[in-house]
Amino acid sequence: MSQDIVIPFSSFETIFPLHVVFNDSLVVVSVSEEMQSLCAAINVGIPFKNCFRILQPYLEDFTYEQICAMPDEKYIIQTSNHLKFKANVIVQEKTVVFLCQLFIDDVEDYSALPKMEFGGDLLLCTKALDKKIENFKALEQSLRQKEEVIVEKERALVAEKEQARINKEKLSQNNKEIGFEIQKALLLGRLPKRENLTIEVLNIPSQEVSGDFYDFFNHDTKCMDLVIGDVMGKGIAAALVAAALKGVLLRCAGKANLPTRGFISPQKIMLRLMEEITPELIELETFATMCYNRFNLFTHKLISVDFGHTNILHYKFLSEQVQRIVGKNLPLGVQTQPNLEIAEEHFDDNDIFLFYSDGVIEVQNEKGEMFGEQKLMNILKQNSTKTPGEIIAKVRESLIEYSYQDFKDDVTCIVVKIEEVFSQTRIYNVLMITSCLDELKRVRNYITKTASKIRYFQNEENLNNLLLAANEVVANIIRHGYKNDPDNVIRIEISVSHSWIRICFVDKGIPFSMADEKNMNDIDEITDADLQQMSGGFGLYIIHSLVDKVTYHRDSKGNNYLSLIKNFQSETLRTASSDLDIT
Amino acid sequence: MISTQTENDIRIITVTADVLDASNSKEFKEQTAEIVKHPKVLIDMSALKFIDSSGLGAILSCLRGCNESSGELKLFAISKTVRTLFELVRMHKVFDICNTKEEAIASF
Repeated sequence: MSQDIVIPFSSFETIFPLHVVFNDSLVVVSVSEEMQSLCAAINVGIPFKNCFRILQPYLEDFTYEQICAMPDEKYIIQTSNHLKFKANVIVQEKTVVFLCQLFIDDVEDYSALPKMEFGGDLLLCTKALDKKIENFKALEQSLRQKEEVIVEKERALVAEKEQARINKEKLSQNNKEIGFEIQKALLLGRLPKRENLTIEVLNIPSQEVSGDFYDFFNHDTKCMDLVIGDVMGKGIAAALVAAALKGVLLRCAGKANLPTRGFISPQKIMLRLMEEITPELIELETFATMCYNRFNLFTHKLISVDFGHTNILHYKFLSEQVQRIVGKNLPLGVQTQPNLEIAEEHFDDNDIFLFYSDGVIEVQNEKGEMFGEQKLMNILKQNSTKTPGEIIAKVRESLIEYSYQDFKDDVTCIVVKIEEVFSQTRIYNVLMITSCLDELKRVRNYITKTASKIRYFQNEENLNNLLLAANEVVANIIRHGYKNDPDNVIRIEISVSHSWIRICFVDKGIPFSMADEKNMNDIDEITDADLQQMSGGFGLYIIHSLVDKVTYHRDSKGNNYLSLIKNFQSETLRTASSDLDIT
Repeated sequence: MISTQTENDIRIITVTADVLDASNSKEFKEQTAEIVKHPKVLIDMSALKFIDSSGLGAILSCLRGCNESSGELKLFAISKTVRTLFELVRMHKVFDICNTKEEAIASF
């Protein structure tokens, strides 16, 4: 690697004034004049050991091969006339050149010193420099290699990190997928297909799996249970607790359908569930909200047992109002409650129930304001003529429009609509009459003709009570609603289901509240003497006394709808067959 | 809608209509307004199959008319369905109700 320094021979003498050249037998082949003048004994043909003694390094037997083996060695040599020299050696083409320098201490006569003495140092410097360069280059090379190794390692590290990130993401994705699978398979029920209830579900999972769950249990064509719930927290833990909870629920509700004993009430199912699951939830330090509902289409009733869940919204077709059904029980996992409150709600055809998880009303806009229940109620009211599918679509649209970020919590919303009479009504017919009291007889005949097809109304008294109530309604409409103006019409619709008869009177008269039950219960407080003085006012009392339910509402077009509902089926399901025979 | 006869100085009003409702109760009241001023009045309800609150009101006005002239009014032969309404609004306590014409005549 070092470049040879080429010095012309003429200069060599000048640069290196003290030198001796030996051949490979270590016999002097050449000696400089200066050297010879210092030591006359050194002459061509003289063997090495007659010229010098080597003081350093210590060598027992001094040979050409040894010199060759130590090219960088510094020698201290001594001539036969006791002059000491430092010497460097150059071995070249089977010759050995000793480049010498006097040890100053030994010099007695400085005038005898050669004039030019720097050559040896220059060579040494050059050599040392060469060596240093070589070392630097080697170092540089080594550094470069190390640097490359580092870069390579760095690259590998980055790749590894990336791979780790991808793996982590994959794992998290997998976890999420597993979670979603758990949720879908175990927590979210399948939508039942029923003739008399239309059901639609909205379920938007949040970024994370959560503990929302719902399911449906069909008992028979007239009875369906719906459960909706939410386990505290998020992630797979919440989903697993929810799955376990549902497992216990399935077992408790599964026992509900015993053919010999009829259906077990939702209250009993929930008591059982509560007793079984509460200690476990307390141990896990978690809790769940839940609402168990039974739609009974025999009795037209919703029975609901609630554990701190969100309210149920009930759109009533007849009054065109949405009302809340508010639960009173504590969430599951707080404590075992000795008694469970149940809510019973009557429903009519075209009524709509909306169940939701708290994720729905807690959707936030950019100001951090929550969506809230009122908006949900408004959507329900404004879309009450739509199908559950359309209502659900509207809810989804409104939530997405309202929210400014992804949903933080699962959004679950279930809409159940009680289907139109025709599918479940055995009889449906209509009579139009003019607003004339002479029509009363026709009304009674019409009702008699229809109702007497039902065994219950083949009893004279039962039929008479119904006729009396209807008679009072029509008479009231004509006298008070239409003020005896005979040029109006009244439409009378009769619907008969398995368990009830409904007579609906539609008129365009002055609205007056026949459905108002106020002041109707105090006939017992009137004295006989006062009773004798009464010329009227019995009508409303009679109506309310003789039927099970009176509903009234007025639509935006000014039509009054008054319905009389008389159940002829006892509320218990065990008497399922006999009474509802239509002859 | 009604026929009248007198027996043992008792005026007997027989309701010939099978229905006494809002459509004919006014007519009933008009037709009976004078008759009920007699001191002893009986109303034969046997033909009546259906009565509503207006019909009831008409019968009640008969009672009031009779009371105004210090007379006595009794009903008899009320069908089961008519009685149901009477009981519902406690009219069975307000009226003197007999099972048969003979029983009614004998009770004066």
